[in-house]
Amino acid sequence: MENLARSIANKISKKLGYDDEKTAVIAYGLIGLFQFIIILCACALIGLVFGFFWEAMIIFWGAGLLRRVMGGAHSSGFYSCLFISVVCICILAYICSLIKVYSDSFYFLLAYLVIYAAAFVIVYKLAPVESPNKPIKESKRVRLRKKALMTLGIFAILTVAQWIINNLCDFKFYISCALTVSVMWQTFLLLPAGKAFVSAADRIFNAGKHTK
Amino acid sequence: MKTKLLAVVSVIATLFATLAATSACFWWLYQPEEPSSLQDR
Repeated sequence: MENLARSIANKISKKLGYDDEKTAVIAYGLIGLFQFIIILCACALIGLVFGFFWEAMIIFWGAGLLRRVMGGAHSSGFYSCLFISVVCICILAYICSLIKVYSDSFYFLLAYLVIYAAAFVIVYKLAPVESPNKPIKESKRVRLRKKALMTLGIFAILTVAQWIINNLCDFKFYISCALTVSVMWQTFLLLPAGKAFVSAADRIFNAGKHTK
Repeated sequence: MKTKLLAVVSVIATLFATLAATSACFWWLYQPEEPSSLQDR
């Protein structure tokens, strides 16, 4: 897929007369676009078939938005990223779809508050976690940390608001469970344990690829 | 027509690359090497 992005970028640059740097920027953008579209379509399709479409979409957008400002553990290649992302989103969304009907209980609110409190501490201490392929300058680091804490705050407000609305009104909707799971997942990826998990999943994916 | 289409693709890809450049990383787990012209954003 990366080669396809580079070949499309080369074709565009040849036709429109762009230089090498502009070609690299287009290829970089196309790789990101392909990654985004493939993960979104795969999760939406699997979610529609197995009945957890909305949970999968909340986790996809929630964790994706958090990741933009927090960074986190990275996989070694394009395909292992697709594999780990789609599998994890679908498993987490399935679990959310099973437990969401119980999420109006007080114990869930308590769990949400504990998870958000832990996430605020971890994000304040560790975010943003950079990748060797994309170093982050100190000024940008401070800006991203602020944005990460703000995003986390908005997610926390939405989670508590949904819990209150569901307990006060007859109208029921469930976003808090999936939103909190996306915060949990993204915060986990900031920790050394998250890095170890992604490395292990990477190894499993690469081993499976080599045995074919 | 083909040139117009390629120009549209190039604009969308550049927009996406710029969005990625202003963040900590790409959307999910894979981060390709960032072009040098985007690194100071």
